[in-house]
Amino acid sequence: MSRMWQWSCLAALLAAGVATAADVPGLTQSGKPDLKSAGALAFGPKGVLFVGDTQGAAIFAIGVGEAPKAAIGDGFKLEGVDGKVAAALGTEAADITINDVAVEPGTGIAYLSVARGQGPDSMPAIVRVDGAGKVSVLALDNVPYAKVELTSAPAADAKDRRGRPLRNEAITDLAFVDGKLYIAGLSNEEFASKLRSLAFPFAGKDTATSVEIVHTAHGAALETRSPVRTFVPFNVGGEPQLLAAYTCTPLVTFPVADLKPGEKIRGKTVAELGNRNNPLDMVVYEKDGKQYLLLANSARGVMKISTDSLDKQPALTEAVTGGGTAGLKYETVAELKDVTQLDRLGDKHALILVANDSGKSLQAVALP
Amino acid sequence: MLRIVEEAGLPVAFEAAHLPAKAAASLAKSDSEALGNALRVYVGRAATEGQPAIVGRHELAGDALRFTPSFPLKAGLDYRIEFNLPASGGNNRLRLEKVISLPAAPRPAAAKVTTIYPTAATLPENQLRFYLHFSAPMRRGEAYEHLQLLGEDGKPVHAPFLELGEELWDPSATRLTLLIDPGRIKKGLTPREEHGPVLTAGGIYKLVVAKGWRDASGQVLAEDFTKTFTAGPAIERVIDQQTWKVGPPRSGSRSPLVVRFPYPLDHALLGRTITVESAAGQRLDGEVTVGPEEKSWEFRPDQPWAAGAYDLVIDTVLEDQAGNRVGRPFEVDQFTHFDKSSAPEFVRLPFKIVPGRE
Repeated sequence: MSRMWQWSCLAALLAAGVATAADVPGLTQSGKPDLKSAGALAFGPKGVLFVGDTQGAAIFAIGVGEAPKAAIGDGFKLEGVDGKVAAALGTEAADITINDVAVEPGTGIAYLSVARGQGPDSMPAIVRVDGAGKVSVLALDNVPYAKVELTSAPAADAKDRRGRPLRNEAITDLAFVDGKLYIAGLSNEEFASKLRSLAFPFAGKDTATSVEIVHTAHGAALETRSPVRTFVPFNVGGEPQLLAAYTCTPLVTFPVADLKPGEKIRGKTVAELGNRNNPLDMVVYEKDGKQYLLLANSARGVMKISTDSLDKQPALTEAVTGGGTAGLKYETVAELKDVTQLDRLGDKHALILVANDSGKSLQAVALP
Repeated sequence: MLRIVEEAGLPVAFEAAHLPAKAAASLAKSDSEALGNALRVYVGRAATEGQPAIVGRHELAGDALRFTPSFPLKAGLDYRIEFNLPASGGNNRLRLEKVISLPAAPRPAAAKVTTIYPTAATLPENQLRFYLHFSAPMRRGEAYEHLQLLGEDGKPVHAPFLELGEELWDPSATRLTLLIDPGRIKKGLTPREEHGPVLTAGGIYKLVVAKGWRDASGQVLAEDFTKTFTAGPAIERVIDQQTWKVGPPRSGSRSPLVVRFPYPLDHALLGRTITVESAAGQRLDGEVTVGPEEKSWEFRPDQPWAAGAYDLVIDTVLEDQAGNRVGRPFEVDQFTHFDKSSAPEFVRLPFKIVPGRE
């Protein structure tokens, strides 16, 4: 049955008429987007998937067309997802890397950004997974899309003496809020701290503007550049905010309205998560009338943090000692282990990518 | 018959060739879905439950149905080809299967660590990053399993590195940027308060790159690579270009301009943040070399030097080993400094080329 799926899906797409550039506002080009890599993913306006291309130093907005019908629901579990994705790409699991997972809102279909192959010759792919566990590769030969190149370092010459560029800015997270795409990046050279924002539809080439985010240490009157590793948009008292995790562990908030080009802003530290607590991914959700943050991180499993009192939360002013976190209350969700990717699946579930010794699996879990 | 199609000696497609005339005629009337159903290729000798067929495109040319995968085939793997044409219109069902094993690719030399920057034997206790250079492209996703920092007692230092899922590689996958956890460097943060700094002045440390780390070709590093260093005092001041010693050559030669620093600067940033401009504002082309222990920078112009005034143009993103920049330390006292702008900035250091002897 699964073997039938790919072609029947394509046929359905053809029958339905694949989205064209004119169908989706902002997707001004059609053809094959020249993705060099596929990393961070975020959904924007209906049917638009933003893809961070670290190798190509660009962001693509891609029209994904009509979604398969079988939405991912409660109890979904796809074991060996890496092996299945690899099989569709003509190779074995060890030869692919799943970089990010995003769920298309309203359809319950998962999209995975994948690197096929290792080293500089690896190729990007966007893969769909539906509720029946069927894996298909999004055909990118002729899709509506838009592209914006990110300005790289201001340095005049970013190549070494052999003419090879060495600098790279990893696009670590994307989020779309109120018509704007926010982009977190981390340079492999300077300790940069730029958070870019970009209006969509893209207004032309290279329109990304950036703000400098600094972190103020507790107690000491010191501030440092501080790259943002991952972030999520949410509302505090009706005001859109970004809740961001710095690479140096504090969780901070800043109002979206403050993110103006060329400005430097200080995030308000609302929690410190403790040593080796490197946030990998996070989502915001509501349950029983309260707002929570679910945060997957490298050392401490998945944390559930109440953001209910965030607007009343005073900024942390003292270093936290003797055990870990301060500020917002959190609990560790014991059932969730080895979670490396996380996205919201409707209002009541999250889709997680679990990687452990027995392989990789994609699972739907109830929001705790 | 089922076969593999090669172009320029590389396998690129699969084909059901020399199909019976009736089968070919039936396929000629089929839509793309039916063509896709007729010829499928799977990875491995036997497909597992739910395993998708390889994605690609189908074309019918005469009596041959060809399937070209969207992604290159991988040397050393088995591929199973299935041709299946259901009975219809007087045609019998036609079913063929074949497994094709692609020969393994000749293996390139296994990667090894070539250099770790900084190269000096003493590093400041607030050292921010290392660059690990490899002789061949490496595999992503297993860096932190193979990296350890050992203290003087030979025991690993607790969680010394910033472990990023993205792993900061250069585009050729031969250079990894390894950051010491900035939460252990910055003052007043929980990680530092709880566990102390990663490096303490006076301590002797070993950065160990463990064997077993796979390169992009799947081979492993054959042996450990160790960089031993002593931690020295922290560097907590800005880079001041006025303290640099510029040694200009005379005109008429292509001898390098040599700039010496009082202490090492960041290797990667030195490679791209300093340029030379003539008085007319023209940037000179030439070759940049970073000197021993990253304490000097050389520029050999493509054209012989002409006498006159020049500027070294320094991008202020240039950092030292501890992340201090030109004009801005890693940790800023926010009550004495206030810089609002995040625009790129450059500083200039003038020098002169005097006429050479005729």
